[in-house]
Amino acid sequence: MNASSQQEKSFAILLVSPSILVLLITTTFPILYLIWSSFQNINLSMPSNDGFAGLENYIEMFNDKQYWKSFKLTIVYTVSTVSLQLLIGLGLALLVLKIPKAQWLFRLMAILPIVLAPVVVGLFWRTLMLTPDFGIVDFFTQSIGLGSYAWLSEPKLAVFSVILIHTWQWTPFAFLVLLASLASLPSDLYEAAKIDRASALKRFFYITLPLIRPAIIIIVIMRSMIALSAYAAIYAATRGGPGTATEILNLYAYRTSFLEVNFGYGSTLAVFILIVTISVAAVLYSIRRKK
Amino acid sequence: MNKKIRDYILTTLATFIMLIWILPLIWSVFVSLKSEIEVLAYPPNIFFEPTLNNFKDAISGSLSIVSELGDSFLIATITTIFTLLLSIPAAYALARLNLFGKKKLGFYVLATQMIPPMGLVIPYYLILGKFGWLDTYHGMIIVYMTFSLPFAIWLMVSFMEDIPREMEEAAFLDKASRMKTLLFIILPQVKGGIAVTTIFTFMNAWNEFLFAVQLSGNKVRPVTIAMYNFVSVEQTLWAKLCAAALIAMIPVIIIGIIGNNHIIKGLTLGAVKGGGRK
Amino acid sequence: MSRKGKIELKNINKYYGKVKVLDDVNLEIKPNEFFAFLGPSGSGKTTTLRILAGLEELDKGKILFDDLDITNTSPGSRDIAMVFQSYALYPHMTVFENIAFPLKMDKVAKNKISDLVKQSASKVKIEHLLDRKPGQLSGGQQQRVALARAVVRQPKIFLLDEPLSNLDAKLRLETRVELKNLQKSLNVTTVYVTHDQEEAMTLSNRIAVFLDGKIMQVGTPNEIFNNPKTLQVASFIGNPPMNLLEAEIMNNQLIISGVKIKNYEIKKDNFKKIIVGIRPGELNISNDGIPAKIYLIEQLGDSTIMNLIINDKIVKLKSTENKNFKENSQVFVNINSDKIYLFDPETGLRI
Repeated sequence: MNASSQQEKSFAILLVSPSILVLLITTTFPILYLIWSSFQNINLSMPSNDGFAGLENYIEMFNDKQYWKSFKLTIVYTVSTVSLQLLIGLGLALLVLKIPKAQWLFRLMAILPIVLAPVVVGLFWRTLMLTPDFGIVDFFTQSIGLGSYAWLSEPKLAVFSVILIHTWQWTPFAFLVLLASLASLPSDLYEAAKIDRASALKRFFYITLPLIRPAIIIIVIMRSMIALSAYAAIYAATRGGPGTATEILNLYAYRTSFLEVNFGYGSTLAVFILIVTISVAAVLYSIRRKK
Repeated sequence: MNKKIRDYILTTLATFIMLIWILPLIWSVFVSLKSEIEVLAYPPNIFFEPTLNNFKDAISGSLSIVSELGDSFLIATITTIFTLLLSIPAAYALARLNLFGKKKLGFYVLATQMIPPMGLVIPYYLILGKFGWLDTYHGMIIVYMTFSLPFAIWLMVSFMEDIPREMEEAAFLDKASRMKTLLFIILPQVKGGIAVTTIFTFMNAWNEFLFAVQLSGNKVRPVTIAMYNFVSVEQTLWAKLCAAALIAMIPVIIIGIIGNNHIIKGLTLGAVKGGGRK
Repeated sequence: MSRKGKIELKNINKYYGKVKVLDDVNLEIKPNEFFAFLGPSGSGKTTTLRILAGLEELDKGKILFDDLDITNTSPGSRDIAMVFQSYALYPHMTVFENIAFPLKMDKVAKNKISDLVKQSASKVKIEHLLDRKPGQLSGGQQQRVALARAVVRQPKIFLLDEPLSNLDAKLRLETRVELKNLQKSLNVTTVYVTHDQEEAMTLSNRIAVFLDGKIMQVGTPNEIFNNPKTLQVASFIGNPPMNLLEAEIMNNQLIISGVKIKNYEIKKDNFKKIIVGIRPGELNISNDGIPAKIYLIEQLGDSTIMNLIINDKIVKLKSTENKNFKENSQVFVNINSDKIYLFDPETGLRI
């Protein structure tokens, strides 16, 4: 078999090398550059300081109050949106599951928020929904007597708003995946359970939930990755404001690098984001493999 | 009868929820058809005289976004073509062929997917700056490959793995070379997968914002930053903004509606056996 | 090189990790023979077939086609054709294109392809389906397409991996006959993998019985049926399979359940305990003999199978007589002593 497996190997290498080459150039090289930059002082506003900085940036990061604040905010943001997406998505999927004939319509409607550019979503919400005395949400709260609020300019409300926006856009993803997963469950399992006198609630917890576990895990993995790297929608809605109320790590790194042109420190923050993202992915993937 | 009534109630409830959910989108259509003055009316009007002026302004005139549309189209299309050309053969090799260090390569591709965009935009700004490739088409396309290629490879590998091995074995016995097997047997059967990959690659490139805003300038302006033509410190041209945004989003919305089955197949990959469609 | 179609497998050994899946397999298959690999799942028969095809590698040993060592050649250069269990039809091509594919790959002239495809299709009676796609065909029709695709190249060696197992019972029986005729008309050496011993018996010139990666016995269907070498082979062949009973030898007499078997003398006294094999058709119920209790009666219409309990074991009796026996009654069983097989309880070998 040697002749043909040698051929196979050469063919495989031929097919794969262009991609690997491109990946190395476009992803690995910049990351290495990023890591290198994080050990440098690259500040376009204070070029006299430029040069090797060792661990200075990292030490600065650990002492940086804004960094910790940002980090906490990022965690809150990620955990909230992913949980909300799961809960709401599951609820909607269970609801729509019972009406198979109309499902095509709901699937179509669910696609719409997902295909929009996040920056557009952020802009729409900022302008059309949340502007006091103008937006729909504000109009609604005024009409039911809750009054008008500074949805995007009051710090705590702003956090709530960006979480709302992100959840709005991505819950349909959870909905679609969960709906597909639920629809693929074989009905005879439920019939057997009904004969075994399991109540609807018990059937849900003992049969449904375990069986849709793969779907839930995928949703958690993918949505967490997206939440950690969220940028455009928040930028469009609040620019990280008011002040730094909605400045998740991503935006803080952005501000540091491009607005304060402190690329060295910004790189450090970005390296940290990279580490967090990869760690979260590793943990989640290992949970996935455990089944 | 009981079931029919229940279905009715559920359908109505679900439709109501869905409509509320896409209210922002619906409302943006309304606003885009209003005049700027109408838009400012509060409480907001549902009944008004619709006008197409905003769309006209978004297409022609000083605030036109047509050139940005062109830029986005160029960048997204070329990115998609390159991505397909690179990812399909690579996916076949990873999925099917006997490769030295296949697992490590697969892991590497997966790892590149994990890289957060912020981790790339900073070095790219510095690197492209050094090469003088900021604000260029080729600069943008290279950058766009960073998120397109790993994802496309991952998608195509999944689709290729679904093809039964026996089909390839039959082809070998029929004396087909590996290249011919790939072209005549494998590719026709992953047409659906190729469609999914094309859709996702194009859409992600079209909707991209971070790289677009940082690495572009005056010559190359993707449509996602064109929105900001209508937003400034003094005022926001609400109606025109909506019109422009809607125009910018039309391609992806159309793709979303027509390719809706493919998109769902792509989303549910790995989560549901058999792609989730009964 | 004259292509006769002789196959030789010499000392084939294969491991999956630490597990030995093929243990010193040696076979010689004659040209134009219809040769079956028979055995339960996991016995190594399919693995051996795939090694013949070149789809799996072997760890030790050689394969020769017509005295030529082809162990290291690729599947495409072995001049073999294979029908897979799942048929492996190309779903995006029409039946015509499926059958034409090997010819296309062989760079046969276009004008010839059409004729060859039609010929091949008519041999399996699917000429009317040439424009359809596999997804539009029934299981039986798909199977014929797979056959047509395999024979269109006029290979010298024809491999089939449980080709009938996906068909329903009636179709299986019909197709069996057609397969046999097809092979005869084609004059190809055919290797046929199956777990269905009836198929192997009715179709093949010779059978190799596989078990646990080893070949237990090679022979014609008659030889295997009448002269099984081990009790595993004996218990695998026959429907219902051979009964195996524990027995003792005392004073040169064979004793089962304390009853001396009439007219049976044994001169091998180095065995005290022994295993007796007797086919269901060679038992009958009489007035005395071995005590048994009728446990279950299966009526097949033209014959009856009685499940008896002898010594806490189930023994099957097949009879064409229609006596009225009742379940749960005690009876006596007689054995046709001409047809007894004796096996060593430790090695399983025939004595």
